[in-house]
Amino acid sequence: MDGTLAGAMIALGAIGVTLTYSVLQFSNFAHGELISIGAYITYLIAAAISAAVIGSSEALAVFSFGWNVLLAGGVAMALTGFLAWGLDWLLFARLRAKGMAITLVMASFGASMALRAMLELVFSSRPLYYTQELQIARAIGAGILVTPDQLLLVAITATLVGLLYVMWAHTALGRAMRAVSENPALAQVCGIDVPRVVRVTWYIGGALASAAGLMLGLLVQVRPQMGFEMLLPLFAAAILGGIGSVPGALCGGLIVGLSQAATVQFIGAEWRAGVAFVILLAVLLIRPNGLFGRRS
Amino acid sequence: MTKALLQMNDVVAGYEKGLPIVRGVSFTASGGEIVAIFGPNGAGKSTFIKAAAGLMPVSNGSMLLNGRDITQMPAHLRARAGLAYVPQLHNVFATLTVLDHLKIGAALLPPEARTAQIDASLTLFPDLARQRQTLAGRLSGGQRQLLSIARAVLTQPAVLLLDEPSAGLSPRMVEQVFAQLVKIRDEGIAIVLVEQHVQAALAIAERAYVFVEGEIAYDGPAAALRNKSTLAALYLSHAHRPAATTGVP
Amino acid sequence: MHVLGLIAYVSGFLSTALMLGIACMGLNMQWGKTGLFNVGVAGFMGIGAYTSALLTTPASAGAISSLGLPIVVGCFGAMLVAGLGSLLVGALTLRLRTDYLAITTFGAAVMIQLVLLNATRYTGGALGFAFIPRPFASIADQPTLFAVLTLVLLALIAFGVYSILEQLVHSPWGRVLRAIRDDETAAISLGKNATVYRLQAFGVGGALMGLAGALQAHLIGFIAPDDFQASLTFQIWAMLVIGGSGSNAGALLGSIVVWGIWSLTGIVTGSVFAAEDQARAAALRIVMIGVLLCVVLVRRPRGLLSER
Repeated sequence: MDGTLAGAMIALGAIGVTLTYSVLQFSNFAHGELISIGAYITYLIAAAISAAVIGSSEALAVFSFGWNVLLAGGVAMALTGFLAWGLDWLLFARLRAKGMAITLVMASFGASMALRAMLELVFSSRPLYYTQELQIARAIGAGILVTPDQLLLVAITATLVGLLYVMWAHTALGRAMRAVSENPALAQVCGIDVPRVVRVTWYIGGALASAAGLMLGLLVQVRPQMGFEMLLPLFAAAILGGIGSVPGALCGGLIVGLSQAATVQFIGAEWRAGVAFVILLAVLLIRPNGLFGRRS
Repeated sequence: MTKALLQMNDVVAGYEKGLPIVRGVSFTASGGEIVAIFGPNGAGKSTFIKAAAGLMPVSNGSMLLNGRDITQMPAHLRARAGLAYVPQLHNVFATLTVLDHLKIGAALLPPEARTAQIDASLTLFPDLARQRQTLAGRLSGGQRQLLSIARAVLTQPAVLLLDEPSAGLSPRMVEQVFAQLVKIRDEGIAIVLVEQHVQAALAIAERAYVFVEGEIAYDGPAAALRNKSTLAALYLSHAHRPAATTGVP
Repeated sequence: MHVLGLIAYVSGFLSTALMLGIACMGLNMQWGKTGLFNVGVAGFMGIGAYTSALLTTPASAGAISSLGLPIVVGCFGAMLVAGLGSLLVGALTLRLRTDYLAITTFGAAVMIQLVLLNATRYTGGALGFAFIPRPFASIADQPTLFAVLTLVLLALIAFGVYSILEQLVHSPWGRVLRAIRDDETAAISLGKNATVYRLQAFGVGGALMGLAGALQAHLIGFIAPDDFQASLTFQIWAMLVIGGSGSNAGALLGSIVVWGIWSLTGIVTGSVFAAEDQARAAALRIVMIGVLLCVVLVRRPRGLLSER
């Protein structure tokens, strides 16, 4: 169950990475920081709601957190989406205009570092928690233990991924995004507003990152490093699934998450972070285009 | 041949400033006519048509689409304003289906007209109707060309720009594509056709322009170019002009 | 400050800047000269530092290693291991998209960090690796002379690396490399195997990072996994980009400028912030360097000194 949850979280982030890669053709090293920022925004808004509305932070039904956290998570998704778009406007769009693809990657690396340090500056590196309550896991048969929180988070992820898939495969916006990812110049002459598609891509990527941040914050804790530590699993999942493929990123995320859980179980928790690298190397050696990737 | 739908006045265009490839071209195309553009390699035909589509920086001159100034308009807005462009290469999305392409075209129409236009387009191109769920990357070269044209025509444009639609096609396929173009013209659309395949294009075009070294060397009825020696003389014409900096020996 | 103390401080500052400058020239070999994107600089430096430490540390109470080989051997060993490590990473990814190299080197750095932390028996784990021999240790009781001599040694090494790289760049090998970077298709059509040349450049760059890591170990005498985190990679990148990628002199200049900014801001924040806020102050300095890097990328993408 831990593996599935970690996988769901990784999938949310990996879909964002894969979207920015396919539409903008660059790997965004600052994506991890969008996760952290989303988690911190959620924390701030949840705290504000609980201060304003008495009782809003009281545990909801069987869950360990109040409705303030869920509402804050939703608002934070919207805000982080805007922030991602702002980052593009401030930095990446200017470099794209100069036509230097690889400097974008470098700039994203610099931005990642600066944003992470900024979080540390404002919030210090002391971890924060959305809730102080502990939950008792219940058996759901076959020896699997879950907490209600975990079930809810898996359900939220499934809903978000489902919505995103429908958008990607069946709506005009999704078609426009797929068209831009394959050939931006042709998309333009077909009447597609490419800058708008780019904005929407950042927006969706940021919102999904924020959702992943909420999950990570609920399950573990909120720290400035939380997103950066997720970055390698995100990339591994996106490449495993075939970069540019939304279903691929979902499967890749689940595989990486489950492998991490298996490593903790059989090898030792200290090597958990190495799994993503091993998977990454294996994919690059055996099938560089990933499971669902199109040939380049 | 009623109204000038596309009007370009003294257009100067090129990839880099100070190095114009198209050097002061004036051009018109009216509804219901096919205008062919010929010229030797490097004469600026493709650059000209890209400038018209909004993909090439224009440093001087103006462009009017149906009387409206589009000189500074970005490419996607030109497409929405009624200027459809079919590029020479990579003119379909390999990972999208035939139907996806038609839906992208239809997205420029008012919502209530979309389904009807897609149906109409599938009737006009029965080849595509049979493969609506096929990925465009799996289509043959001729079918891709037809799909790209179908997508462009579906938007009900005033002007259709085509950059060498016959490139890489078998003679039978060229015939089929050009037959479609005649049908499209008869709906009142202005068609601008850049072609190397001169004889085939002359057979369907009403008027023609000949570009040499970024300037217009001929502008008049297509029929006058049917004599091969006329065209050859035009291709060489600028080379003998003292003003020309580079020339064919 | 006492004059001698100032001399010792400035010498120490310049020694560190030159050490980082060597890593920066290594990065310039990979990025500036060849266009290869390495996000794992700190990892390769870590390989070098720990290799040299294992080779040179003599047997003593609490020491992890007991080989006690000369420092020179340690440095060459560091270059060899780090160079081979980069060849391995390069061989896996150089034929794929450029982004994959970036991601893989990033992953390699994470993995190296993990090994340094967890292979406690060989690395000392999170507690670090101590008792690494330092050059001129016999005169360590005269701090000024010690610092100046160390600086002279570092300057000689940095100058040596610089001259060898300049020779390489102007050799036929360097010209092929430049041709591949600027126009791969043309270079291949001339019968040059682009991947092999790239791999060589990547290996040379990695070896230099290893050397810099080894020098860091011997400069300080103590290393820990925390010394080789992503922020180090980021600093080296900032040095190269600000100094001007493509130019070895730019790489050295950038190292001194960025390390200067880093040290000066360190002095300022050290005196302004209270002791418990020092972690935050360090974060502020990273934000500043990060913003500076992004501004240079957008405003002056060629850096201070760039290749003509």
